[in-house]
Amino acid sequence: MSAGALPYLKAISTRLLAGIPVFILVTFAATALSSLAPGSAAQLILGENASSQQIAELNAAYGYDLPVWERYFKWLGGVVQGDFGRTLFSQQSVAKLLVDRAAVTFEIAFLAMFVSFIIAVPLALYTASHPGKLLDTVLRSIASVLLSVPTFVTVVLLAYIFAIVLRWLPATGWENFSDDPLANLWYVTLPVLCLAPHQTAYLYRVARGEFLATLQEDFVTVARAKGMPLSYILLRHVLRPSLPQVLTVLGLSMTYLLGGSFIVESYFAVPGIGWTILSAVNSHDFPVVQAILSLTVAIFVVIFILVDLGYTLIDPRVDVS
Amino acid sequence: MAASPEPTTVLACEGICCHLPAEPRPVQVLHGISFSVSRRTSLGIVGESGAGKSMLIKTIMGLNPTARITGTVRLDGTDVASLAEKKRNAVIGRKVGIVFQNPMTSLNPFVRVGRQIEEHARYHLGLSRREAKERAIELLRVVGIADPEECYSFYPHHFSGGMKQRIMIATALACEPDLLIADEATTALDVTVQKEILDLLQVIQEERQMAMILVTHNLGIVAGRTDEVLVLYGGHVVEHGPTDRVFATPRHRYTAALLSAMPQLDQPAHTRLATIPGQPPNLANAPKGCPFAPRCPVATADCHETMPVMTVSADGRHRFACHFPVAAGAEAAP
Repeated sequence: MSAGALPYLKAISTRLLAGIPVFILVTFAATALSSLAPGSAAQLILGENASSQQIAELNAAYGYDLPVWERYFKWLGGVVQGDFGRTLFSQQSVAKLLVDRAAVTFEIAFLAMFVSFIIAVPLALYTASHPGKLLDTVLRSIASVLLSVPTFVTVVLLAYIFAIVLRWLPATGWENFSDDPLANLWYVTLPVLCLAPHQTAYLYRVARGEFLATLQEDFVTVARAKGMPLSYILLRHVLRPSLPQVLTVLGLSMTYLLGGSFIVESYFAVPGIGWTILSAVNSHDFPVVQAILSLTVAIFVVIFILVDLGYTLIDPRVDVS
Repeated sequence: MAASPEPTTVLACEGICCHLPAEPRPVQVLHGISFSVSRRTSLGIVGESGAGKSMLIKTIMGLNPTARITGTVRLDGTDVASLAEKKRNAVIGRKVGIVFQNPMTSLNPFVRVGRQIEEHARYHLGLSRREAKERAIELLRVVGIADPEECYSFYPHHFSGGMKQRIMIATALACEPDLLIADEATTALDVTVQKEILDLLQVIQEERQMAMILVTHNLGIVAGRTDEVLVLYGGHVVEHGPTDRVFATPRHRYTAALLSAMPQLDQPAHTRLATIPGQPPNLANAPKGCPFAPRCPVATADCHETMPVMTVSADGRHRFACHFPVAAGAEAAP
């Protein structure tokens, strides 16, 4: 088993290297776009009445007057040393800010994913093995409805029910887990509840389809002919062969969730990545925007590496290399 | 293969009919199929695609949950068709071993072969993990796998098609079944492997004194290896009898045509093979009379209108359903 670690390390490093061009492309595009955006940071900082000389001085001080590629390499040089710069207004370390905000988003994303996984997969397994039965029909309709309701509607609806009518959960705000775990649970519930239905419905549909397809496989017929009970067949012969597809979907929605759920975070004023990048864009806080974009790219690369590694763990035919 | 003085019947099917759900109305795919197989004997079930061979096996095995099935299936005297599903699966799973057509897809690629061989033995017979492993390794040896201890923990993708079919045979034997069914078990294999697998099946059947059913579309497979042959056409039994007798003096026109379509070694080179013109009947729109009438060279209006009744030979061992049977002892002439 110990000899098996090396190919994994090799596979991980090649995939990380492959992620570098993507990272450069995205972050450079962001730098270029920032110079096209209307208004300027200097104008915003100094206010309406700033003279053009003041603006020029500030631009020179922050390096905003440099050509795009020069600005980009200056930024990249910092990133390589772990320095993402300072925020424009509060002069905080961007790296520090990012870690705090990412923790919030990650918490919400993982909880939403966990909730949808433990609801969707068992239900899909059951209904796929009893197709056309009442529960199958009902759940399929519910999934269609949940998939077609946009998040901004869910958010308003659930906030109205749980925060305003029932007053069970807070409508806005946040408390970090490390500060107060109970309060954290109290604040995180509503955002998770808003993200989970869509995820659950999506995962349910994919998983049910996969399970149905696996149930048609010859080896399932063989297991039935051997007289094995249905529950054994489902757990031993159906679940694992269907997981690679489920994992792919899980990875895709995870990247989406970890990139920050703008709607949920801004609606509930949750200080996560999505909320932060929105306010940073509005205030031309360019170092923050750039850092969050970098993080998003990194998340994509890492998630896809994890998904690839997941395949090799699930499927004995897939080799690491 | 000499039958003992009083062979015990392992499987007895009586009047099996099967309707599959379809629009606008259910399609009848099996019409009153009756036959039996005894310990130490083998039965060949032949027919072309769509004749109902696989449907018959699925029906016997209870693998057709959506179908409407009538008739009785007696397994060692128990009417399994009348049992509740769970009970039925347990009885069949323990007493019947089955090897399916495609070894490449019959093994779960995500489960080690050892577990696939032993899982039902553990479930039905309550074997401990160690006993089951010993049995699985022994079976791997029986079916001719080299290094059975090592292969026990391999995944299926380590094996070739022929090896996988050997593993499937080991799986079928795990509960020491009374009946072994090979459902087109060699169709997906190349010819030399085919012969090895068939020989293996035959040896195992004789050693373990099981009843065996060989389902195939290949008459050549049935010829030297079975005691009896059952010819299916369009979901009907058209002829049933001792294999040598059916081959020597086929009575049904379909059997005769099938046999004359087989290449003969004594034919001169480049002889055109005889064929049966036309297609097997569409079961959704089956003919009223004899199912073979549309393709039969001697069919009359009566053949198209009325279903022939089963004629049984004087000694009761050979039966066929034909209005104008080939004369007994005559050459099979089209």
